[in-house]
Amino acid sequence: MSKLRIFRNRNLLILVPIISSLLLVVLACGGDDADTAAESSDAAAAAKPTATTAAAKPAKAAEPKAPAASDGPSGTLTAALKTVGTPIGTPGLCVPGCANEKYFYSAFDTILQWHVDGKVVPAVAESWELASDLSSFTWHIRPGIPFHTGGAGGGGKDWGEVTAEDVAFSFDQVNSNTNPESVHDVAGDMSCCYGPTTVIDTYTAETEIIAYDSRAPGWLMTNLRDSFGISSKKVYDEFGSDGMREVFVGSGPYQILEWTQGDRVVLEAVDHYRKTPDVKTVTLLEVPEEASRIAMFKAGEAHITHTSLPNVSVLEDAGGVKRLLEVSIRHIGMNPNFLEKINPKTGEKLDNPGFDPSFPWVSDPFADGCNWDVLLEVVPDEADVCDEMNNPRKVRRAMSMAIDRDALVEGLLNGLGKPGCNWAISVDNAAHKDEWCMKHDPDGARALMEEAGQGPFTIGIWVGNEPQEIHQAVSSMWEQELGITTEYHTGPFSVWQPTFVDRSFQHLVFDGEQGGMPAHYAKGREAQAWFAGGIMWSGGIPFYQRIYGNMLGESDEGKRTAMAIEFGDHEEFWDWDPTLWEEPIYTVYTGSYMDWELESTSMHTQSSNFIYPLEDITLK
Amino acid sequence: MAKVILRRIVLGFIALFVAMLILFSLSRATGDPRYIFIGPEGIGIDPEVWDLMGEKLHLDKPVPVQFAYWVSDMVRGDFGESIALQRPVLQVIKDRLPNTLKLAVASWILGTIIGVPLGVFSATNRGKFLDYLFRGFALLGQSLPIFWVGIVLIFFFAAQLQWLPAGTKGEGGFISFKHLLLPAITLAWYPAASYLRITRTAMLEVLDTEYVKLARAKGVGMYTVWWKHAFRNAIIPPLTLSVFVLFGLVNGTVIVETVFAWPGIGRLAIEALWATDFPLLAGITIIFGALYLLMILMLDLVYAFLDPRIKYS
Amino acid sequence: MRMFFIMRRYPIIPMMVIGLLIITAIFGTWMEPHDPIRADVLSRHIPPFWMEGGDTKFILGTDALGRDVLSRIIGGASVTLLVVTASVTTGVVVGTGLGLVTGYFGGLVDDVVMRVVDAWGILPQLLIIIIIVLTFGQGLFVLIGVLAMLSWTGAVRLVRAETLSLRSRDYVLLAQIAGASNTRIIFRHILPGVINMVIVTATLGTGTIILTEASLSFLGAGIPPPDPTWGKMVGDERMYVGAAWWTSFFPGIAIAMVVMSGNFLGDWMRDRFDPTLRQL
Repeated sequence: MSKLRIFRNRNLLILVPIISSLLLVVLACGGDDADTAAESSDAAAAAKPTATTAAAKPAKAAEPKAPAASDGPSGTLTAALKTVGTPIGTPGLCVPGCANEKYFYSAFDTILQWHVDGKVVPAVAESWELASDLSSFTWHIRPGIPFHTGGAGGGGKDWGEVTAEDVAFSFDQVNSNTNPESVHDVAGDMSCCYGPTTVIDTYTAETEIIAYDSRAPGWLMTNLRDSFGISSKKVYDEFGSDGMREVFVGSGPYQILEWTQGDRVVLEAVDHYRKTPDVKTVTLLEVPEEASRIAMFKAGEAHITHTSLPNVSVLEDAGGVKRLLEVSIRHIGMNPNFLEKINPKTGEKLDNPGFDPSFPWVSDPFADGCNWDVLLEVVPDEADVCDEMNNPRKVRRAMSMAIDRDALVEGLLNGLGKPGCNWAISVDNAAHKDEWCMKHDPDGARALMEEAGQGPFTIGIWVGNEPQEIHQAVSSMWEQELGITTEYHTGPFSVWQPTFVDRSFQHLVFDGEQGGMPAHYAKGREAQAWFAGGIMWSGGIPFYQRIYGNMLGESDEGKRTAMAIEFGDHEEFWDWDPTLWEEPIYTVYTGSYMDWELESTSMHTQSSNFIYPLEDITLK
Repeated sequence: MAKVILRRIVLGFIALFVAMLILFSLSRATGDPRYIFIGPEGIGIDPEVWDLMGEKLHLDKPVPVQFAYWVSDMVRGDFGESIALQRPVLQVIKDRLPNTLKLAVASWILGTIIGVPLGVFSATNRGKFLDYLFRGFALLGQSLPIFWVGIVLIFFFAAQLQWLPAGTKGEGGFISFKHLLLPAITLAWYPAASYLRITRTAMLEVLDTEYVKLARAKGVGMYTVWWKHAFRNAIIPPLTLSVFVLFGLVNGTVIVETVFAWPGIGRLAIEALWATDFPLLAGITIIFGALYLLMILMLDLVYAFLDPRIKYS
Repeated sequence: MRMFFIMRRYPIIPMMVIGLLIITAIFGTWMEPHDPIRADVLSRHIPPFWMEGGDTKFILGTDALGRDVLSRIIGGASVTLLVVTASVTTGVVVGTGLGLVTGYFGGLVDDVVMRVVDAWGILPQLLIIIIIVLTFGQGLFVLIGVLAMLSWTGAVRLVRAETLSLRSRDYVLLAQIAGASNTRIIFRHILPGVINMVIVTATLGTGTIILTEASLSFLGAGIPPPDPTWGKMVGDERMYVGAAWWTSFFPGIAIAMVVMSGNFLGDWMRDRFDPTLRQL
């Protein structure tokens, strides 16, 4: 009798965790899941746990929707991104990176657009003129572009249409000349060259040009790289800067219904002059973990995502179709230990307190017997170059020679990229010269090191918190072939190179450049930094400083291309920034669920989003 | 009694103050604190902005004065502005705190309802196979790295079997159990293990006492002995543990939220790290510290209520 | 059956694991089949030898940079051992010292130290560690220092409590009357009474330290590359868990086994030394 009671009591105990676990599982599997695209899965999922399996598979998710297009936008789409960024309202408050989100999410429209063919095409402005004396841009705004009415915060209200006032407001907000508090990514870029934007009439605005920038209007006025969308002045008048952090009123083909930092963005299609989207609701989820993004893609929870290159094939095996966004040229900044002593624009002296020529790879133009002017020639006569500049050059060259680029591409990129030769001009570009390409030659490298009288040494590399595969692979090659040991410096970049205050950076940095840009565009860091006195890996090199400035001010495309080629030759001799490879940046989408024919595209690399343009997506 | 509570509160505030001192010292530890306050790009800061920052941080004044400014700002609710997010720190934390709380509370509940009963069960079946099984389960829970467990769970249940979602919080209103399950399991394993072990030990000790032996000798039924006598006393250590468990959950959420893309404070802290967003990180730390302090105080009150024998030292 | 009972007396397996760890840590360089640091991108992600595509040259397969997983696990052993020993020792020594001093002398010193200990106790450990890494950067010494901080408060509280109770014992009072210096009393009379407990706590704490180091490395805040630590191995390879599971799986197992053994050993030691200590 008592034994029975004990037995019962024991079961009581063990039943508690068992029952509660089962309860949890049932709750978990019975829950409503709005993330999977299949709306009909809800009924099935509520029944039993096993139903979730069926509901989550892509097959279910590709259930036939209402017939598309003619009836207006319909259907849902989910994308898994590394980050959804921070909602920032006023253009001027747009911290670096946020610009991409705002128009990559197709919610804000830029004044012009960059077409997939590489041309600048009308957008908010249906036409524009550059004054013959290069003193201003005139924008003719397309009438009848409505601002979003149903967006978050400002929803339900009619904010009218896009007028010159809004354009002038947006421009002036971003431009640090007109808004000194602007922290927008291109604030400084504009400050060099553009003055206030004035309203001429309802649909005409004029932007003053202080200094001609040969890359405009493509560079700052389109979605080519970082830019700014057109915001509504009325919204700003009503809500102010702070209020605009929650009110998203743009004029793009999608309006923002929700933007929760760290979690998700929900977009809804609206009628648009460019193209009314097919997909009604787009949800962007922030999923920083690549493994989770892959899992979500495989499970059909996300239809678009982005991963590192080696995992693209994993996605393709799961039914993914890859779409090329851009090619990124990876290179090693080997001379960020700045040389430039004079601001090339203003002529004032620059302070390089941290310049340290004791490193074996740093050329020292300030040593006795060295001639600074050789740095300003395209390719100097080697006899004119003093040892303190030439030997480090040979060291850099040797290090570049010791890298087996084919192995890197084969091993780290699964063969999906190709070796690169010049960071400013892609190998596929017509202006590219084969002579710029470095051949893998370990013996030659060793001979060159001997010639330079340099034995093994230690070098520092800043790796930040990104995946460090490429750094380790390259330094392994250096160690094997040349006996160079590497120290890795992690942590935020600002700890290693704070500001202009101490403008020298004694470690290598591996960087990437946009490969698809035309050769005649001045490459490298934005004009902002340059006009403030030169910075960034290649920015500290005197010859590049001059090229950059000249290219900006030169209106003839042919001449600009010639200057870029000159720099290529200069770089080939000096090896300031050995190029490693050109890697494709892909976005991957579920082929059975959607199609993505491009009508326009942005060429921004290194973006965390990879989901532009949304209005071109059609569901199957 | 009230005096003791008051003393505890005062000590608590002192602890919080010292904690803030520690944080402040860290921010000034490497010289000019502005270097930590710069965004990840760190390029293109105008000398004007640099100087402005110096003014805001009162760098012209002596260090103790700077600390005074900092503390007084915090007391008034001004935790500064997040550098990366350009929004007030407190607001950012407020937005994402509920998510972490949901996850932490769910994990705590899960850990308790699995750990404690199994612990009692283990104690009453000491030496048997199930005892060893549960103790093995507990041992694993305290030995496996959380991030590894999370990754493996995602791999199996989300990627391979596709039974559960691979991450994020999900849409469902207050809570989405489907999305909560895997992160909660990952986070709850360690606490469940701790609870199991400590409940087991406590039960064993109590069952061994004279008092219980006497009761059983008198013929009181096992059931009564277990529940009325042993368990009531054995519950004290697990209760103490609860505070530590909740504290440990804070550490755990940092990792679990990262692995499962859960939009809570833990992940915010990591993002703050990589964005060198010191104000945000400091704010999160202080908030957690204050919350923990609150929990300790509440625990003291619960103690007093539960067992008048417990003396305050 | 007999063996079973004998084995139950001593935690054989945990001792073997810890022993293996120590041997591997010291002699690892000779035990590694390959160089754990040298990258060879063309041998990337080779599966373990029993799987298709595997090679007996790389028993547990290779990682994203073509490095042998087994060699890196062996290499990681020495880092793990070094970091753990150094941080536990530092933390416990500092904590014990402080505990002895505050427990014995009391007064203002005691108050101040205890307030700092309290303050430290309410701050979330991982976050403070992250802030310190943010401020001071990454590196071996920062890591050891930061991990040492995990153990010092526990040691202080414990030692202080014990010191307080021992201080009023007869033999201590006698020594004081006899004119012995404070230092002598502390070291000769109080410390021995405390030391067992300290060792047990230290051993039990190693598990937490290893897991915390692994978590830090996983988050990318640990030791900079290319030195292998087990946590870093799991962290770096986590995006490949689908395609190359062996790169994250085996280091995780290594961590688990060492932590488990540490816990077992600590429990056993505690039971042996003083069964009345069985609280946690």
